[in-house]
Amino acid sequence: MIEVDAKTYIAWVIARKQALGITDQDPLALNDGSRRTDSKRALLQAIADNARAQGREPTFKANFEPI
Amino acid sequence: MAVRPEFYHALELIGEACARLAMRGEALPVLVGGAVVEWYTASAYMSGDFDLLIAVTEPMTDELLALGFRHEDRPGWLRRGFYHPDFDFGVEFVSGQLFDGLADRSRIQTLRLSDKAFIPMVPPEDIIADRMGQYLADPQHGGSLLIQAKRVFVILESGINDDYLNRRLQDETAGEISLDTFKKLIGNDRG
Repeated sequence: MIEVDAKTYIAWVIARKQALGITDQDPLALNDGSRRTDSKRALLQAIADNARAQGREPTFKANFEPI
Repeated sequence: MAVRPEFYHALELIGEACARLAMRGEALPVLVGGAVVEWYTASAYMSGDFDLLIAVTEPMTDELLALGFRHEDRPGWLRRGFYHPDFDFGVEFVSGQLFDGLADRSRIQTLRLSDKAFIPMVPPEDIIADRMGQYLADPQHGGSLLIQAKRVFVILESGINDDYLNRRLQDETAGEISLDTFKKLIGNDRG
């Protein structure tokens, strides 16, 4: 296995994005959720339910068909 | 432009579980799926969860629970997932061989996050090929799979092993997409 230092690597990726003019104002679409497995839908639903029980929206956005 | 702080924090937590697993002498998982795309694009693509390929799940289950994760325990559903109740992200275990045994495991990258956290992760060539395999399998060619593959390739182009990517693309697409075909599909736009 090849070991990579996370902070060094991500600094290089960010520099590459800047050089290419890729901005986060135009992020790629999230997964549209159409190919989620049932187990993944259940997991994402549990996360959403937990956050809403705490009176907030989930930090990680994810598209999925609610169960 | 930077990687999302909440995503990085999630990597650190999972990485801590991996490090604890290693200290126990247990086999380590490998991060696959959309979270790998988010890492290689520094959050130009945002993933909602983390898929870990793992053969023996019990030791990793112990470590995730020890770090505050909870089992997804909705009655009547397959329980393969965990979520962290404070940080809103999920982890799902995936079984089987890494890309059906076609990936070169010596190319797995160990992402070192700190002295107490690291995660083994598939290299960019494998995640590009994986996205293209799924892209081809979808009759609508929908979603953002081609764009994900393109972004990883364009951002990391100078570090990509062309021979390995060419082989893996053909593995994952039953020979329909080679590196040359892929380059034609993504065009000359490097943005």
